Amino acid sequence: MIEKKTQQALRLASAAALFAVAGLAQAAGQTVAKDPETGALRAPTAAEAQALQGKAAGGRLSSAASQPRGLLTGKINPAPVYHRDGTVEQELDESSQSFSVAVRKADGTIETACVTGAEAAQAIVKGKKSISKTAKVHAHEHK
Amino acid sequence: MSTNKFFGGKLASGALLIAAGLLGASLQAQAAAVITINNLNAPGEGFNDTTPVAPVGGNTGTTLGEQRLIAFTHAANIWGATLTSSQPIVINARFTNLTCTATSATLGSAGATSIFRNFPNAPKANTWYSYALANKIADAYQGTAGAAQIKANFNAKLGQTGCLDGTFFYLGLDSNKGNNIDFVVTLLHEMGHGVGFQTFTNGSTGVQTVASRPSGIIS
Repeated sequence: MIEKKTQQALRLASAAALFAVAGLAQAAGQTVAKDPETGALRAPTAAEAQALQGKAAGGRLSSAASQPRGLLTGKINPAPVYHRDGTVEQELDESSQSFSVAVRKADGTIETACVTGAEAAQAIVKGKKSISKTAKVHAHEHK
Repeated sequence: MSTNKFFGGKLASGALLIAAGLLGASLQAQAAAVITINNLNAPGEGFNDTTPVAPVGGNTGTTLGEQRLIAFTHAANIWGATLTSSQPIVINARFTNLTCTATSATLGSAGATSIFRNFPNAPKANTWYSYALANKIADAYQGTAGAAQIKANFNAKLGQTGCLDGTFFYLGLDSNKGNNIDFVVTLLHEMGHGVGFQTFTNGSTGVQTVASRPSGIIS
């Protein structure tokens, strides 16, 4: 009985270690597993790789849902992709997207501006920054 | 997700193409540039909103979603007639809830989905080009097959209580917006960012988009 519980605990621990290592490895673009017996890092077995894929997919989904990324469409790969012909491809997130914002002024007119990044847009919409004092915007007034 | 293709240039017959687009038909024609709009909205939302509306300013749509799509088509046709590219430009577009207060709102956002450097025919080495421009210069499709070149989001709640109250997107095609926000103008502006009038730095920190990382993926 004790041996069975110990084995279960070891499995859970090794699974946790596997996912933790996988999390680190994903950032670097490769996946490794920590052997539950020796503790050494090695290539994951087929079963471990399958479990990792499921875990990773779930992790991405929950991560995406919990982050303020509602302005995005699709998934973002933060790492550049190097193609064999020398082309380098980089996906962009919302930090470099252009945002059009509009603010109603005291006289009732609408002032619009375009800023780069969700953070800059939020600052204007939430009143933390005024359009007139925002650098690098092109503003227009609508009457 | 439905895909509507629109073609720039005077070959585009608005009503015909809109009807074809709404029916999901796939057409091909010779034009300055082909712009394909991927409608990412779910049924009943955004471009698919079935709220009945009266025609306005040359926009003959009979539902809110249809009028939004017609306005989008109008703007896409203007850009399509202006640009020249052998490669299609795909826009992932949707209406969604963006940040608002009663007196302010994010109208929309847009930009390239990806940037490229050192691609075939690139004029300058180690220099980032927006997706649509890279495709045009390379005269070939770069990156992942079927990927969109532009992503664009627009505020679904604009004008409603708590979202720049009472100021709506004007969906007419005649610039007669009154006190509202001209949606076609907003679209033209945002599409301009998407085709390359855009910085690739973080708007708040000024940090440049990653120039190189040793751990990139080899494709």
